[in-house]
Amino acid sequence: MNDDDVSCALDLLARRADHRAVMDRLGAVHRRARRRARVRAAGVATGVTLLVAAAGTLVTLDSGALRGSEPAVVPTLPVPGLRVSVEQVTDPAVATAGLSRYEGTGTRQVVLRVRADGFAPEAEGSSPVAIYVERAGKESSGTPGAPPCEPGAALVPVAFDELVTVVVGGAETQATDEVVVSVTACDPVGAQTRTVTVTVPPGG
Amino acid sequence: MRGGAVEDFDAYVRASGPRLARLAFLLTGDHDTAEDLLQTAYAKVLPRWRQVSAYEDPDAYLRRVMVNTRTSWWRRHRGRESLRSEVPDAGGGADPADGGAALDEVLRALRALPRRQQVAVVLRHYCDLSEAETAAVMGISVGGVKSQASKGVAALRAAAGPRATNEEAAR
Repeated sequence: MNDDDVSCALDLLARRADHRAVMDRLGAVHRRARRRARVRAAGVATGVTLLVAAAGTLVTLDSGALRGSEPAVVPTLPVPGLRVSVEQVTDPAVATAGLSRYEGTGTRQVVLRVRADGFAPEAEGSSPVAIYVERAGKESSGTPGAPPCEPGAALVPVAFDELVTVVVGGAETQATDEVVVSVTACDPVGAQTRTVTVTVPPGG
Repeated sequence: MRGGAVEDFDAYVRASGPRLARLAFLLTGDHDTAEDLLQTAYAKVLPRWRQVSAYEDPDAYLRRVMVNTRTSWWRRHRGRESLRSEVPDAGGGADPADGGAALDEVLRALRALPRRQQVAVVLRHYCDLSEAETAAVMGISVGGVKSQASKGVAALRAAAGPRATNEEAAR
């Protein structure tokens, strides 16, 4: 198999994509673009809310300490830290959007919404937070540990809001399960862990 | 295809969809994820279509978005994806005209490659990009492309070799 054979094999493989009829790709693209725009807008709104809240706190502190003088917002560095929440998605429409396309025959999927807001050190070439999902003693996915950061990396705002899918094997029959989600950023933020008991949807 | 209007974007999606779907399939190894990747890439490009449509080759930009998106998915789901082994269209589902079984082996080997090797092989040997162009898309050095593509091709040869050789001999 020389280089030409490799190219030829890849070309033949790629043609398998032609056999798949796609319904309304264009409509799907526009829907995705609108959804991305909404998520981005929500992220910006969260960031703005955090900044406004932080500024409000500063003003309050200042006005107390410097009573009698003009209240002034003192420029300050953001405080490293994350506020993390994990919840099972129960809205069928949202849950369906978070489902993986195919995970194997008989498997069931649980969709979690993982959110993290705050400030964390900037990572090299990746998100400043790493997500690691584990079903105790069964399986795990995601990235354990913090993403790679340079020492003394600048703080960047984090407005993480994503759907994470947990796959329950077809041979498992339980109606609930315990899932541990870790959100980790570089020091000094470190890891935050949330344990949630999820309801596993019935198979079918 | 210039001007940046939504109608232009729609026309571009219709025209480029089939060829970029092929690339997406090679980058992902299964049809559903490939369509997911392709639609995500288009959705990312739509807001900046006015700028992208002015490029000499918008496909090149889409390719880069697809590779970067694929990389980010791989990082997010790597534990899970590494466990997959089924090959779409394998066996009876494969197109008999394309040399089914041997190609299944190639596809299986392609999917099993480390991410960088997989991308380097696809960009170099399917998209026919130069080493420098591949390096630019992947964000690595030209030397890195040579090394990754070489290892990837060697792995594909090892996987496809015996079977491909047998099929060629049988013709």
